[in-house]
Amino acid sequence: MRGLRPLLRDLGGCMRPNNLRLILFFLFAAFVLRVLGIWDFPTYRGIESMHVPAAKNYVATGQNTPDTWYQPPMKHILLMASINVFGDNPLGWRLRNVILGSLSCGLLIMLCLELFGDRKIASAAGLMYLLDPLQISISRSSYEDPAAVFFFLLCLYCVLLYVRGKDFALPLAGMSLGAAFAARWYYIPAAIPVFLYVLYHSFWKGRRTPSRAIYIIASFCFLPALAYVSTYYAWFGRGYGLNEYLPMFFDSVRELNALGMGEYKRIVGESGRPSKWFIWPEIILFLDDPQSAWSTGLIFMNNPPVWLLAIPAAIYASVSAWRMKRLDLLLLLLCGGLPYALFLAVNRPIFLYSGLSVLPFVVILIAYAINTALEGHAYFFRFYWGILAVISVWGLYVYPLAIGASVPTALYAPLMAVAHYVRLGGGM
Amino acid sequence: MDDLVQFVMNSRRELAIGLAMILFSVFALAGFWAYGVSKRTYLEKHSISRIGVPHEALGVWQSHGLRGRVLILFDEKLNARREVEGVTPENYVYRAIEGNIIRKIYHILPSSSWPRVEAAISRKLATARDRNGYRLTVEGTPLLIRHLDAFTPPAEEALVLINARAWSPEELTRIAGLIKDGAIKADMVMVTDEGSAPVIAGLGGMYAPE
Repeated sequence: MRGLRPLLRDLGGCMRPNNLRLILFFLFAAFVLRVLGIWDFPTYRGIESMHVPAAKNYVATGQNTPDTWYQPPMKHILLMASINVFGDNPLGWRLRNVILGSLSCGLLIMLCLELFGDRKIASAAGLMYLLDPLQISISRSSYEDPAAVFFFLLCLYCVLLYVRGKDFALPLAGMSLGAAFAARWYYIPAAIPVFLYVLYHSFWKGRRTPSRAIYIIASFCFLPALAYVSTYYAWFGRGYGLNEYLPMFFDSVRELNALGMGEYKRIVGESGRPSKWFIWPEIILFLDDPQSAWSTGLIFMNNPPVWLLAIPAAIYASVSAWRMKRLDLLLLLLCGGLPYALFLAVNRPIFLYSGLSVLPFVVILIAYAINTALEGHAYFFRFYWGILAVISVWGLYVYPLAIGASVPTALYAPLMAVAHYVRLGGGM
Repeated sequence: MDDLVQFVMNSRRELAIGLAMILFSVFALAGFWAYGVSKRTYLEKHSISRIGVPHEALGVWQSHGLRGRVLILFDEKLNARREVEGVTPENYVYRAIEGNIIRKIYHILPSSSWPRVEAAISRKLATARDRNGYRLTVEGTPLLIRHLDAFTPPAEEALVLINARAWSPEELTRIAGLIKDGAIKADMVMVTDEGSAPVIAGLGGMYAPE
């Protein structure tokens, strides 16, 4: 431990022993909650039947079939890495997202500790994220969103380290940003405020020198581009040159924008539109036999007790950021708000699991709002622990459905009454 | 003074690291370009061959181990239907894409087919209109649809496949002229047997017959 101290110091102020225990607890808990029973489904489950062959095909030939060709290829590379390490079996297909989803939880805690230095905020945000049923179910699937979230959170954390004086962290932030883009394009608009935040802290608060400018441009422009383009190595292997790269990128954007809802409705049912995510419960329940006493179910939902607090929390945080001139709060708002604005603006189907990309910022802002709004109140700790208890009880109640376990139907009758029902086998 | 020296040393180190990252990125991207180009296979000896039907071309390409090539297809149909099983006249181009033989397609349409095809593809949302025709994709493989009058051949050596039955003798003579003049650079020209005479005559011994 003594030898690790200098390294841990370099990794941020959040790495004090008490904080380290908190981070490790959430990492372990996240992993356990996400990994339980992933081996119980020995064959492809839902969209794995497309993602796994596509990953193999991409690495072997540079082509994405049977998956869509226009999505960036980081997901294929990471999935094949998981298959190569853990085998071409349910563990290999699913551990990628279990690990990345769990690491995201740890990164979220680290981000909160670095930003606020308050373990109460970090614990509340971590608990909401740990038990979020959508985060849990997608972390057990083969969708690419956990990878995008992980790399973007890593980028943000490295930016915070850089702002605290750890210059070595900026190139890592750049590479993580490129990796996030190569998993999902959702964070492209969020890169702008992150870049501006880096510029502000570099030039207005630090050194205004040409060498610093070159260092920032290299770290935040060249390295992300290299990281992004590198994931297309198999595509280059088909004989393409760099001059064909940009036309391919624009072809991808055009194809993506040409998608219609009709092709996807049968896959995920009524998954709700982004405009409703934070104002209305969106619950899809896959059940194999709701008439019997026990039924295997899978839930796909926006976790109403938490998500419906997003907008009030965002408003509170905006006012806070304005009053206290906190650019880091503004950064969080923009990192969640700009991808969400993209979802609202694009004219193509956006499904509920894409909400995963804004979820970390939602829970951080809710945790911040709850803690700071109640701070100084006589019953602060009762409220705080009460809120955590509600989050925990609700999270554990829906947890069996988040992992597709067999549940007593009567216990979940209230949920079945408000959910869109889909017979299991038709979707996820 | 010590602070100034420290500042200068840190600035120099920062500059060196920044420039190193930029150079590394540029060389790495150039490396990907070189890697991609190295994966293309060309024929050492240019050739022309007659085939009975267009889909026989797939077997010829495969026998030569061709890879990563541009195809200039002179035909009224693309024949790249993904949903058809096996190798058939309707999907041989898709199989060539799938086998990484073809990485880009110029589909040149005869005048008689242009109105029908233009009406169909202009309705597709994923189609881009450019000054020479249309651009869309087949599973990510760029497909540039051109009229013979508005066709600007690529600078790269390509595979040429001509379905002579779809073209008039005058158009075939014109196509042969484009190849003979070097406007279309091709290391392999394949033409369907029936109606191929204007092409063979027009190329005048330019290629060794297969």
